[in-house]
Amino acid sequence: MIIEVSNLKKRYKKQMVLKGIDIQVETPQIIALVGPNGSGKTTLLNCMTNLLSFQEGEVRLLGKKHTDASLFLKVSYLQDNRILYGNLTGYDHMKFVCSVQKIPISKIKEVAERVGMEKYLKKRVRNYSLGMKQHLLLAMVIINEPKLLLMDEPLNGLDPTSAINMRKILLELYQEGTTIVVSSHNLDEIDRLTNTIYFMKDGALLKESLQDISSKNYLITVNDIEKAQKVLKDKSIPFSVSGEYQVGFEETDIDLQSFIDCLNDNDITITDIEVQKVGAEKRYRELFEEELSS
Amino acid sequence: MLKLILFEIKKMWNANFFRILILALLVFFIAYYVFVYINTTRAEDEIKLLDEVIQRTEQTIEEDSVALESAEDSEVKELEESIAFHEEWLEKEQTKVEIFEEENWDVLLQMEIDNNEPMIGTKKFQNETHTYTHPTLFTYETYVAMSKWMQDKDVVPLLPVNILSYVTLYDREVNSGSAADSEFIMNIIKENSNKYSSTSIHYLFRLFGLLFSFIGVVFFLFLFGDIVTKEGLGRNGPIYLLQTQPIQRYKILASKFLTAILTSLLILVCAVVFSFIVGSIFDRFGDWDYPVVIYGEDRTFTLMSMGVFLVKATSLFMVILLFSYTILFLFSILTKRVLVAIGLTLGALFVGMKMSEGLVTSSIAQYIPFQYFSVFEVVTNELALTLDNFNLTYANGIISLSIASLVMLIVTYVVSFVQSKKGN
Repeated sequence: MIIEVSNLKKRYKKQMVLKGIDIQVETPQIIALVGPNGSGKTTLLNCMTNLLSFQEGEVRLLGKKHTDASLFLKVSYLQDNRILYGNLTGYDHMKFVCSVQKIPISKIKEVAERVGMEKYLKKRVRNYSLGMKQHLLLAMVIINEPKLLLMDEPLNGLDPTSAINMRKILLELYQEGTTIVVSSHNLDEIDRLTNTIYFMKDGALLKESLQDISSKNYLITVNDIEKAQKVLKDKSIPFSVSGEYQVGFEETDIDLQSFIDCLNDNDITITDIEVQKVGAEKRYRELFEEELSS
Repeated sequence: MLKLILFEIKKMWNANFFRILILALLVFFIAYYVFVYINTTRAEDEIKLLDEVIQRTEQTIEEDSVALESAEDSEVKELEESIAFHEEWLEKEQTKVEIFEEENWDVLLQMEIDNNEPMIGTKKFQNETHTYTHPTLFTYETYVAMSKWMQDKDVVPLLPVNILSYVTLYDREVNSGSAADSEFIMNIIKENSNKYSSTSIHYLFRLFGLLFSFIGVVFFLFLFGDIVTKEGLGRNGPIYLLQTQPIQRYKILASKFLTAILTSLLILVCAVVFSFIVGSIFDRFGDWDYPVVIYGEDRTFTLMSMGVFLVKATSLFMVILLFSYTILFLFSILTKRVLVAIGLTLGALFVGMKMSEGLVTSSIAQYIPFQYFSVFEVVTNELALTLDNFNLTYANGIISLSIASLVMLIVTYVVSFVQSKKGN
């Protein structure tokens, strides 16, 4: 078992912040942990890694009890950048990780290049931008080639290029057999990473929404938008208009081929088809309707 | 553990505050050496003084000789005696000049022994064994013993060499007309007895004399004050980086403690190296065997090599630091705020020292760790003599401070354990 969390309960004073969480992961996968601020995502990850204690329940990672420090040889946790030492360089941080993890120092350069931080590796962290810090945090957690990688808001402060690079690295790690649990607010990125999403609400894991909640959204670029709108209205097909030349629809309303046929039959030329996954956001909207409306 | 300690040292060394304090310490070392160097009495200074005395004596002899030629019978004898006395004096002073010129310390010390050893018998004969008038019997005895020790071990004495520039704790007054005069003269003698030497070992002795005090403890507490709190205990700080590595939790705190102790020792070693270098360059190494008086009960004493004395003083100071760091660590864990932790530690030490003052004569005095913060006074037994409690020894200091430190460490570990169980 890679992750085994049973009936995990934690309270701060009288407030219950984790209400009996159960997670079982047997095979490598990417799991997204999604929920509004204060829903308990970070607390859950911190409890799993023994940074916070909890009142009830049990956590085992890679078969070891969560209090066993040796599990961090194969479990990594990407945390908030406040864990970094401003006076030290990125190299110093990685060298320290290498020394306690018994990893050859030579690997630092390789990982720094993979993450794209070789240019500022020897600069002090206090001079790093938010994105640079995220790069360093990523480098520090992947240098030991973990079997389980827990990540708390890894995309914070990343520019689009870095975000794409991080996604690429995570997918590579997953291909290599690493299980990744990633907490994030960036629902688009999550959609690109995984279909397995755990929603957290008020300290509880919403189990009914665990698997395959994603669907697709298409944006079709046409030569005559007015005609397309008329045709779709006449046929009572739900659609939306985006810009001057695009009509959009959801896969759940009509399949792509039927939509294309409908437009083609009325001599409307399609010049482009853009596919978007909308699972995370769609499901999020459903689950957190109350918060969104308030 | 070694990797953690090295990482701690790296973090510490990269902190600007730490660097500034170390730089300030270095500046202090240099400035103090300059001060000691300027105040050191050298052979040439003594020769210069003697030359002046010789000149004055020669002048007196000359004046007396002129007066003798025209003197009346009644004055002749007096003048002849005066001339004889001054000629004898002149001869002695000239001999001394030769001694200083040739740096023949053995002869100088022998002169001091010859001059002062008879006084021991005289004092005993006159039953002045327990007086407090300078120079006391104890002062003569230690002075002569030190001179003989220096002769035996070929030790260069600190200048000036004479009984009037040497005091012990028993010298509290001088024979003088009034109490005010006595105090004034006593202060001059004490001032003269405060001898400086820019040799390595004597400079180190003086430097450690300043450093091994409450002020020294305060300095070291500021140096390592944030070693625990900078990790952001109880909130999302760098401690989380350490705690998500394959490191047992107790080792994180233990490595910090060891880092503080080892770095403190390293700083003292650097002070020793600095002393050896500057002393050797600008003067000479000095004598490891220079005698230090260790007071005993009932006006007894022993002599100790200055080198051995410094080693003992350093070990006692290190145990004092160990004890102080345990208090700092406990308050750091409890308060999680650097200035509060340092403030409470200093407060606890100050209150502890003040409260222990009232218990010096009690049967438990030697078990109170706060009694031993005056390092030099403890090693020389001056503290024991002053407080009239010879249980306040170096050995008892080491034992009680070590036990107290161990107890504090256990308390700190338990508090840390309970805090982690409570989930911050």
